[in-house]
Amino acid sequence: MKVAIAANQDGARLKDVVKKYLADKGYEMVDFSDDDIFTATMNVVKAIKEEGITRGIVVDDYGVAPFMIASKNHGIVCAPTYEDYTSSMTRHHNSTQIIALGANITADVLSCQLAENFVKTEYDGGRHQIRIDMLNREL
Amino acid sequence: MKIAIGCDHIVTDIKIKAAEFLKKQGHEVIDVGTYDFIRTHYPIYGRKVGVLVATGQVDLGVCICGTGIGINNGAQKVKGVRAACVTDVQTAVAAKEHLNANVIGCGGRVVGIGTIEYILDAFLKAEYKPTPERDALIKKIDNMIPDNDCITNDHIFDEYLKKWDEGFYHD
Repeated sequence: MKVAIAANQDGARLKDVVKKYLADKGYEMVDFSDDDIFTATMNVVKAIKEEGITRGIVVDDYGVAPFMIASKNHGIVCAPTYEDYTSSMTRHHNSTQIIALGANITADVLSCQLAENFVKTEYDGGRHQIRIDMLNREL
Repeated sequence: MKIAIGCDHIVTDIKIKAAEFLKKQGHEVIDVGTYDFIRTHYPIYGRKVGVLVATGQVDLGVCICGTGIGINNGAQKVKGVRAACVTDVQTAVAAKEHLNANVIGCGGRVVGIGTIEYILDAFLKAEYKPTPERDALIKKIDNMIPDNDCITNDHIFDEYLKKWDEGFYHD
């Protein structure tokens, strides 16, 4: 599976740790990093919307800016992810394509686990799809 | 301060406790629902909070669902909303100081009411610390959504609710 990943300078070190971890697990990592978090996030959004990549990870200091930016795009659900439950539930229920990680908040081991949970978990569909359709109607 | 608060059916009890906490602090709280535990859909309440914030009818919004992700995406997709979904005080404060977040959210199945109270307290006390770079990023985020009918049209979800009632969405 191809995974888009990006960071600004605040998230660069953690991004490299997560990138190597997933690459070692067999994922094909495509790095869209940029010093500007808006550009870095939009690079990942474009990879999802236009290049057929199904998962994206954006890392900065707190994960707040990537969420604000990614979620303002039609058809994109983004999850700022700081603990295990959300990392998989947001795939099961929200069909999330992008997670945001905050290098100031989650340490290396947890961040790698969150990323792995996210990329390997599938969307449940079914009743949850009405909520995704509603999000896509808003914007 | 005037604060809108919303949740889905998973965390109504947590939302009520959070609302009570805000009221005790002297804030005026508008609870947009949901009000019980009957299955409903988080975008309805995320949008309602977002619209109140975006139109200036309240100062801030609070959005809680199971993980916080669904309802905060629902709020964030309203033009003018800058939402943060957090699990700790530091991130909540950074969201206000760096990006002047106007909606704060969390997962009611993720963090307990004690942490929620800490997050709300810190977020309400925090102030935006402007720099030219932060101002520019906020402007960029706010300008991402073109004008649409999300704020003005309270019936945007009707067709999906009709399909739901007809059994279109099933597990």
